[in-house]
Amino acid sequence: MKTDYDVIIIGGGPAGLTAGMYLARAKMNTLILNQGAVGGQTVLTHEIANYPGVENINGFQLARIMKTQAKNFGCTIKSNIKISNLQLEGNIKKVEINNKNSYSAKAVILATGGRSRALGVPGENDFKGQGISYCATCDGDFFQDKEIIVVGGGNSAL
Amino acid sequence: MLQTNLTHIESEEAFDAILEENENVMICCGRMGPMCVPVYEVMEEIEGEYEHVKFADLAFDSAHSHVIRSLPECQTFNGLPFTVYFKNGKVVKATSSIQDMDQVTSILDENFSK
Repeated sequence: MKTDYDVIIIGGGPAGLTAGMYLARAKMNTLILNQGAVGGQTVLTHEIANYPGVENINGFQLARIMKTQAKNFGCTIKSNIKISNLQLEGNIKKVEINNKNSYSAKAVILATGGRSRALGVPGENDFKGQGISYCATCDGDFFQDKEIIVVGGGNSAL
Repeated sequence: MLQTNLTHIESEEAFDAILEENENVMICCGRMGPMCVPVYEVMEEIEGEYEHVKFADLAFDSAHSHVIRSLPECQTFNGLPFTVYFKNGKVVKATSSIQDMDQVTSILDENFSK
């Protein structure tokens, strides 16, 4: 298993994938590490109508194209991993994932983006999908005519 | 049809055939939504590693999705996707809503020994 790279990118959203494409095209051995689904929050977007050159596409499809592009240019992508340790001092940086595998590179790019916040209350995980929901589009039907509590006050909540 | 690289179950007959032909089966029934996509991606990611498990998806809004939706194990579920694990055609585990890599692999490791 290859563990030494020229560059490791932490984050597999549009920023990380774009960085990966440019690096791979410049013949850099590039590893992209991503904690969730590749594409980041793009994946969670139902419809994208303002991406230059693409009239209309859903986020998942756009993310798929970006992932394929990055892979085709030579990036190695590992998704659904957990970063367990980062050593950024010195000339050789080290990134450990899942408390076991370690990768090194001359440079690390942080492209971690953002993600939705969970409630962080006891029992949240146990009741996920059984009363606690994060997606009105997906799960709204299940709660028709039921009393619900919306946590948050942003656009999605309103 | 779901836009994944997984096997799509597109009829009740196909569902029966998958259970008939495979000892260990994981089926994710959902939409292309924010809670579902990460589960499909986990499945795609580990499909090569868990060769003894058949991975498939099923569109929640399809006419034949009742094969999953009507399972007793799914009756209390209020969040997509419904993910069901079958061994020899019998449900051994079912989960509702988003699951990460660790949650999925721990269920697979616990129920489907290599």
